[in-house]
Amino acid sequence: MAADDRATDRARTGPGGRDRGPDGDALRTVERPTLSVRNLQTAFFTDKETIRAVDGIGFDVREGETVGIVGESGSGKSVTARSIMGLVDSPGHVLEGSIEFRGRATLRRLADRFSGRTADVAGVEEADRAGAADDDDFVFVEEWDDGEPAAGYVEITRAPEKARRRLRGGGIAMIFQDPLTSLNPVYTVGNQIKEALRLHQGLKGSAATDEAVNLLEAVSIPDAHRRVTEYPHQFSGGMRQRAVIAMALACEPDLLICDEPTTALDVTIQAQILELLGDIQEERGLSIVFITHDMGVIAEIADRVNVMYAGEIVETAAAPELFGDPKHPYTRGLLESIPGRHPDDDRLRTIEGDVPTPNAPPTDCRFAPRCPEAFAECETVHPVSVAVNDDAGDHTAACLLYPEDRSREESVETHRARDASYAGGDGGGESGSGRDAAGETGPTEAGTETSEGGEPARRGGGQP
Amino acid sequence: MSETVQRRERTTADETLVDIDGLRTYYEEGGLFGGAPVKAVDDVSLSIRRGETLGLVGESGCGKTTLGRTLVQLERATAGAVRFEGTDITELSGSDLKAWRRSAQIVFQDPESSLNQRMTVGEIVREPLDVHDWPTLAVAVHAEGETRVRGELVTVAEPGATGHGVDITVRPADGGEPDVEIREAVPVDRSELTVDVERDGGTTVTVDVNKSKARMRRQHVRALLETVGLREEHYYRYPHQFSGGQRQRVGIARALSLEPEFVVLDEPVSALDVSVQAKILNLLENLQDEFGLTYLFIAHDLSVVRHICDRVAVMYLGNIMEIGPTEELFESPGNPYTHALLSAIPEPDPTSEKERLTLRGTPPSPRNPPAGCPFTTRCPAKIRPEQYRELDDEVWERIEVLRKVLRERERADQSLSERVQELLGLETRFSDIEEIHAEVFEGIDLPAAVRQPIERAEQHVRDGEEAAAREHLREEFGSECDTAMPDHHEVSDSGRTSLCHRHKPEYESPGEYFDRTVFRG
Repeated sequence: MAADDRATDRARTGPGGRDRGPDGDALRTVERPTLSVRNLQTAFFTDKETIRAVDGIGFDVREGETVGIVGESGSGKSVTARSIMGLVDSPGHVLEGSIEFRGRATLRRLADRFSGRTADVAGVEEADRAGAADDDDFVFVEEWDDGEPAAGYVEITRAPEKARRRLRGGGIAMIFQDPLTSLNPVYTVGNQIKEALRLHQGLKGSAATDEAVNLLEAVSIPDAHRRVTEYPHQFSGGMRQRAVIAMALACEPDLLICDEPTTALDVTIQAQILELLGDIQEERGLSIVFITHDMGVIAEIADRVNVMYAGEIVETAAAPELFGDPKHPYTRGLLESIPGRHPDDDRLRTIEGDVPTPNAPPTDCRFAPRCPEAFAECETVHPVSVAVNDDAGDHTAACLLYPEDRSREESVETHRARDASYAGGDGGGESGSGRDAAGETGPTEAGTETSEGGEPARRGGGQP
Repeated sequence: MSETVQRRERTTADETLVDIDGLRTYYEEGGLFGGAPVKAVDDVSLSIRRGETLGLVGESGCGKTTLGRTLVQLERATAGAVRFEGTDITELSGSDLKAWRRSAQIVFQDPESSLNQRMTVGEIVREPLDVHDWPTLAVAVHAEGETRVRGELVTVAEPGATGHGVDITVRPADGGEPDVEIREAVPVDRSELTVDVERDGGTTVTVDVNKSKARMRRQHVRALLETVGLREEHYYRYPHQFSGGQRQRVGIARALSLEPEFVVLDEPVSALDVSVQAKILNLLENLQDEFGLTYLFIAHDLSVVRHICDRVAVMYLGNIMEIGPTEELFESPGNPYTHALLSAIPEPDPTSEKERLTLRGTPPSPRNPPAGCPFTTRCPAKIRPEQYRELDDEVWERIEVLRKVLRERERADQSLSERVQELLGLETRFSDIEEIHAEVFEGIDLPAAVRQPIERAEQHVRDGEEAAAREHLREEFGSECDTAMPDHHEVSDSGRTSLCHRHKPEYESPGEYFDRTVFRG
């Protein structure tokens, strides 16, 4: 689609994209999140079974915000990160869902490079976008400024590999648990940072060297002039992780995904790295997705927390609320099993049983077999994310006990009806009506069937 | 056949089981080119009481695992003694050592790599039994006069032994069947034993076990699997069919198969998720109660240590920095390093407003430890020389950074080409002291008092004499902390000790110092 032709047209229509028409409600006028994940489903196909590692999750990351994803091994946290990065390898596939990324520089770069696959949706209502865009479009421009895209998003699930490669490092950078996997042992640390600078900022020669030194200084590596000429093996574990962070910053990302970045580090070094990430975020206004299994770390760094269990997000809340008043029985169990919560108890409290492997679309609550509060309906109704009560704001839980201010029957009915509306539908699941999105739209809609209006996302997916 | 290891009656709770005295374990000593050894454990003395759990915490590379491995003789000690029930086990060798190994076992951190993937779980747990030709049943005969025991799988129990020191107790009855008592954990029934008593002046008891060793071992392994919370049918499965928590249970079952008294737990839950971790910790506590085990619990997760340990030892660079009762040590730490370590734990409570004491840098190399206190290069409570006590903290901090940068350069490898460049008087990457100065003292107005010594040190660097520069800075800004190893000062009535010069009466104690500076207000 020739986006440029319409650009002048759109420039006249004014704010466009962000302002959703005369009766756009208050929620929609606030700054759109940097990253918006809806009904994401990623599965791995093996000979034996299909493992639904990520099964219909949704969450938002706003500018300058740190969103934590916490869960035990096998809960799907890392697959979530890899899906966002477009790094899911065969036999894994993203089946369903949308990942919208709104990095301004990335949008401009990709709209320029892939103009043929850029859709102009300025002024187009969300529901009508399917008509305004071609099937292979993945850059959506909502607002133009002198022919340049000023607002819009990149739909990562639809982006071709070439575009994803520009996205990785460019708009979204990732830090892994083991820094050595991200560092090449035969090049100096300086060389590797300079490579990132050359690829993403076009810097070369001494300008690149100077910038590399600046970056190492920015991550508090002393004697940076000497350190740029050293190899990864000459760095300690904490220093390596700092070097990886410097490499990530070299690309000037809008979003940083940290996958257990401090798990392999000692507690004193972990404290240093967490402090560093906080400083960098403040300085650069970065959005961070922070994945960990350590409740202490998440309490320290995250603004909002998503708790994952068996591929699903079971609870979402602002960090103080999640830790102060956890609602989902799984979150409670997880917090209770941390040593030191009940110093008078002789033994630690535990959750019975093991984490299941999600290999079929859910028809029940996956936590029910281990849940101390399970009742009969838990085995027949799949809970969806709902606000935990009428005043909960954005505290949601996927549990039949909620909304807690309704009767048990009413609550169960809410979940049953809402889940059925996803399961029953067919067709594109691209609209913003993902299962978890419904719960996040706020307290006013809690308990009502919000997704009726939108196009239902297809549940279950299928082999691609 | 006689048992070398004596199992004595457990008398008091305070009885010492393991007594470590001046233990050193060095790696890469001597060698073709000499060179400094890695001092992994450097002069450690402590004792472990029977039935207690002693925690050993510290950062990676501090020597805690080496200490644990030395205690079970997986590493040879370089110097010092480890007395286990009074016997110095570092002196044992051959069959004595092998026999002793039954009493001390280890559970490794990574259940993934410590279990042989080609053996079934049953074989893994059985292996120690095969190696030690288990069982040899200890028979105690309760009769007057001289007693003898005959039989293939039996031996005489140590006189006075109780608990798992006696497997079968025989009380000869006059004229009838003798009274035979079998310990519960022994996998034989009364019906599988033939006991004959002969009276010929003394008493000779012949015990025949009508059951093959293999069957007994299998039965014992099955019982063990059940003890650690696995099921009998797991016997024929392979490790890869298990989850991390279950594998760790297998590792624990293997460690317990020979009924040890002392178990080193080397980070047994570090690789596990928090809910699985809770189960394993509960299991370990249950087993300790059931079998009266003594644990050395090595960990870096301090909240786990606080939960499970009776006493804690904090280790840094091969030294025990502080050792004492757990609650006391957590509530009012003595040593500056303990302060820093505790302050670094992230609390699962976002509202916590704990002041943080962030340590700079990383621990020094154990090949080249600092001359004075091991913690001196990172210590936030380092004693300053008299004339600099009133110096601005920020300036002092920057000076410490400068010293650290120069120290690190000493350790940095200099490539051949760089040495040639240096010889030719060319500029190398080691000559940019101006840049370092600008970087370190950025935005700082150096007071006159320190300007002169710093300039002199920098002049040394410019002249290519970095060693002289370091020496000069040490003389000028160093203190006792840089030159002398502190003593283990007793810091509480419970006998808790801490390795720090600040416990001397003339100085402010670390706690007071931090209250005044870091945690003020």
